[in-house]
Amino acid sequence: MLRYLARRLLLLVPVMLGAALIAFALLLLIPGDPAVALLGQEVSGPELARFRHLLGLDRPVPVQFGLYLWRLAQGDLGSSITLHAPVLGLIGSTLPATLELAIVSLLLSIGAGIPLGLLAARRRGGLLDTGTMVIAQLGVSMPVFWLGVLLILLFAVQLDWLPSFGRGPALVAAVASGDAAGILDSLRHLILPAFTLAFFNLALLTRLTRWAVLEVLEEDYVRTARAKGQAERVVMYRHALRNALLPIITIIGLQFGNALGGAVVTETIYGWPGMGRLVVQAIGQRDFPVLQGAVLVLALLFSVVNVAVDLAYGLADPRIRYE
Amino acid sequence: MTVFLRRIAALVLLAFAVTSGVPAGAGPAGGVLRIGIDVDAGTLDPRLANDTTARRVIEQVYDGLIELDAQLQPRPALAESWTQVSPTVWVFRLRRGVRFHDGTPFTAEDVVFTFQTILDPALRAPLRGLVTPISKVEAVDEATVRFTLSAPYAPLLRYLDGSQAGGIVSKRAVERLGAQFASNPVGTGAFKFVSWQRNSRITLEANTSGWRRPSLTQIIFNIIPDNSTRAAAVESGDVDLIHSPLSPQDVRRLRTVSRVSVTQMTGLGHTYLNINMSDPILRDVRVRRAIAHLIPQTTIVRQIYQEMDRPANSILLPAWTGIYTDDITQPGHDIARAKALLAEAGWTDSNRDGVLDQGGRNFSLVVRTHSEDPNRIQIVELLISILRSSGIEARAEITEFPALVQALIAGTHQIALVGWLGLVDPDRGMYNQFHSKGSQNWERYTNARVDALLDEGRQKADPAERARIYREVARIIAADLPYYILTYQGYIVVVNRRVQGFTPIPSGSFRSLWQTSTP
Repeated sequence: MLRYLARRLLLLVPVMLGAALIAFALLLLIPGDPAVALLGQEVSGPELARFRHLLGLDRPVPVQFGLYLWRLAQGDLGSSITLHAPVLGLIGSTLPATLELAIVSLLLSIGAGIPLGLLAARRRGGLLDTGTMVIAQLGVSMPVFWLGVLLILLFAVQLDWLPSFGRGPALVAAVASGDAAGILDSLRHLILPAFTLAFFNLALLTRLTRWAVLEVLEEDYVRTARAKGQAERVVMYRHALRNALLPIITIIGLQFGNALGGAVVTETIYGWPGMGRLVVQAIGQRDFPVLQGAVLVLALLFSVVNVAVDLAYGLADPRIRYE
Repeated sequence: MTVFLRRIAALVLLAFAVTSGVPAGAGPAGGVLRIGIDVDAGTLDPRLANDTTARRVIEQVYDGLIELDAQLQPRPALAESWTQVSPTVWVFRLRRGVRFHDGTPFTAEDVVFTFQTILDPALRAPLRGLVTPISKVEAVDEATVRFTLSAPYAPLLRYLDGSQAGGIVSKRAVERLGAQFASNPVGTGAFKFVSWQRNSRITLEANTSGWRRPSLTQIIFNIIPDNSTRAAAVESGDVDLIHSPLSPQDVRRLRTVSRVSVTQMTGLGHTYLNINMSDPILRDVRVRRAIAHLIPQTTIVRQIYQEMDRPANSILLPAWTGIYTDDITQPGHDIARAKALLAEAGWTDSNRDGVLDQGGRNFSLVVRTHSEDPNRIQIVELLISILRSSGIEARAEITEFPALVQALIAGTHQIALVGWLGLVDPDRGMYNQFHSKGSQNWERYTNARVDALLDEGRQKADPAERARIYREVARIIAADLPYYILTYQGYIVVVNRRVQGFTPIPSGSFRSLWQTSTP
């Protein structure tokens, strides 16, 4: 197990190198460069050439990449071209907000999606099943930006219950210091964006859980368990759900990755100060150092989640061994 | 476990139940103004700033030597008075006893340092081009600065406004803070910098020992990128002030909300078609006129902008009082005339395939714009369908702004729908755009008469003379059509009625914030 873990973690090095290379190569393919973005319309030909030189964009591509790797090896992610600040600091100040949103929304979708899926499977064909499936259908088909605006108009404008935008104090910090007002403020700001981000995943998880559990319920061992006279509760949780968990864990792992990278729209609608917006701005302004740094951090998080998912398989299914 | 769950549930319920007693991002009650703004600032160093948010924050934290009033006339700021000693020499007498926010005194040396660093190419100041005619800046004494120009330069004063190229930085603070200065600004303005959370909010507090005494104790710039969320935030009272860009539907709704007042005015920008004069097809003025005749200007303003923008007559902006006139007009919507002009230029459908051709070549046209502006995309799509129905093989190309600007610089475009903002002076809106040596002459326009007029305009201070010069340029541009000016951009400000003393001005400047209060 430990050897397996060590090997997986070692494998992260080539993965990260690959991510760095791909991030670098992709940037060469998009038209427009940061010198233009920086100068905006106030730009002229010679001025542009001078800017490109100052930014080192006129050097050969392999030299640029080599220099980038060299600085990377020293833990230097470089400085933002347009924001005049170190990339590491920018990521450090925005990543916690994105993580907070992603984790809370994931908890929401797991906490609601799996029980709803189970219930629907248990009452297959019933009113509850139909109702759940309608909501699930809505969740996978409703555009995030539309849902977001709708929720804001309802809860912030009409009912005036929740703030329309922004982030309260960091939830972790508020909980750690036991600041009740802080926790409350944090949650009030979190509810709408977290639900908006969770809705699609929640719907997906509900449908998946229902399908996976229904598959398992057809198995012989479930019939055996029922024949033994075991309580329906035990049948559902110990026999059905546990055996249906593998595909669910896979999807949860993917969803966390999506929540990190795909929170952009939610972050934009709710003015949530996360990394998604930093990345979108960086793309718009061709801020290469920020983009490369963000891609690396996201790739790292994705890989770590992947390892965690693989380890979780073992917990769900004891037949899986790590060599 | 169940106890824990119950607690969480109780917390969530509580969160729902509590009404909005604590508005988002609010400080202490009283004179706090919460602004909702569309983008985060890139930098708070006035010499490096190139985005609208940065300029609005910078206006509060820094002062220029002069500042422009609502009529775009210069009035004293850090300079108490100024004299033009000769056509190329200006002397500014500085306000005495002014201190920077860090307590150090403001002197002539800071003015010299500010302009010397802007002029130094190594700083990479984006608006450097506005002040390059300055050949020398010297401190005559502690409170007097002399600017020597390489040639007479009439618009100089307007460009010294704090929101243009002129915010004066503290030399000592810049030297002490180095690169950190961009995120720890030190100026002389009515408000001091407190904090900046990227992509979230910028907080300023009153500078109680400055040469102006603001009423507000605090200003919070909340960054809310989504136009509809920003509208909802002012509607729900979470922020007190929002402004353009806003979507027409939201503005229509906000007009019915009793809590806020909506002010609409013509701003200092226009939206236009940049027509590449070096393109083999568009080189012919008859073709450019025909295209102008095909543009349904009023429909675009009504349907797409829902009258937030106004149909433009010419390159002259209504805000340029004394220079603007509605006598100068561009070719109007007239499809028959457009067809006649195209035929006259030799473009006919000789092979009856529905597409105009000439010498065996089809009339094909690419109209570009940038993906950040949904209204502009809609306009381009409309134009494409109109051009197609007139027998032109038209295609839209929508890219992000940097890619579009790069194509404009390289001159690889045919027609591009773009805009100009912050045109405080006719020189700012025409010189670099139409002079054959202009740095933004992306349409490759050359006209000796226009060159001579634009050079003359820079040298003439007399308002009547300037009006004559810029009107003649505008007349030539409306006939030659290197630009087709589509709309005068509207500027909309939505303010909570509890806010007092805020005067919106067409430049979009928040200059009057120091006189604003929120009782």
